[in-house]
Amino acid sequence: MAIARKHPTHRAATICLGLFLALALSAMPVSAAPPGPLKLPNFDALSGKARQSVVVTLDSSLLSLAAGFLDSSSPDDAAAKQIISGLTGIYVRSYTFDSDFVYPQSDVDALRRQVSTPSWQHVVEVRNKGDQENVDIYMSVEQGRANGLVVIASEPREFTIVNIVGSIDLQKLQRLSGKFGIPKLPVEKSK
Amino acid sequence: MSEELEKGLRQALRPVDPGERFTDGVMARAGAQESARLERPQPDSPGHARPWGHTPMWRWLSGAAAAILIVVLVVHTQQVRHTREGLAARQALIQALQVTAKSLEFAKRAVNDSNAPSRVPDSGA
Repeated sequence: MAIARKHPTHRAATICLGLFLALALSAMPVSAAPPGPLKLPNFDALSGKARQSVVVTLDSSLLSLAAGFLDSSSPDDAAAKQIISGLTGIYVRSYTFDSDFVYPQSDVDALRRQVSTPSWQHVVEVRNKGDQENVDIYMSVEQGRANGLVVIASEPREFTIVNIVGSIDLQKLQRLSGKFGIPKLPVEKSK
Repeated sequence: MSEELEKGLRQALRPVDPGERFTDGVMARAGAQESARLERPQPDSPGHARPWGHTPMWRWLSGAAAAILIVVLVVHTQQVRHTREGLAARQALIQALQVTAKSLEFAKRAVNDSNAPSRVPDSGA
């Protein structure tokens, strides 16, 4: 049996082609795949400083587990059940402090960098210099349907990150207003 | 002193003829013990009455009951853990939705209050 031995130059060319293909594949846009959860910074140090902190990490298995314990006869639970159908993850970090700007701004900037990719659309950006309230809402939309939402809201004494992963029905999400103890914002009618 | 002891031992250990009836007596007692053993019911024979707790049926039942008890305990523990985890997940979900709702309301208010031009997500997306 004859064994075909490759010439060293041929072998080097094959390796170069392989490397090129690997680089090309890694450089391809990944917008087709829905964005996964953000890499949230480790805020353990903040929990000790915060007056109140909410840390929620719900992946798809925990969401389905929670859905099984929602009472459909309760309006709030029914709304929650509708909202989480199609979601694959909810990640929340919210901290309230007794003094101003305890949280590291670099972590907020790092989060903003994560969503400054083409797969995310920066749909709301509010910078209120007077009250120093900043709100950013990023959405990932694929085929006309939102499949990722990130809310970064920061005030001098409050810092909140919400990352919702999966198919999001914004109309259902809007119905959150007035539920779960959140007062409904009055809608100003145009005169 | 030692001579007396030796004499006593010799006297005690001297060979004594057991007599002609000794062999007959031993044989008769051995025969009686053997016949008594044969007349006693064997453990596996129908006439043998074991204590109730030592019967094979009882052993089988107690083993099965122990196995069932273990299975019930394991299932119950798993159900309790599942319920606890489910309720904790539900509580976490409600909390997450509360924070989300609050953040969206905050965003709405900030957009309404802000004089700067801002974009609001299209709800029909």
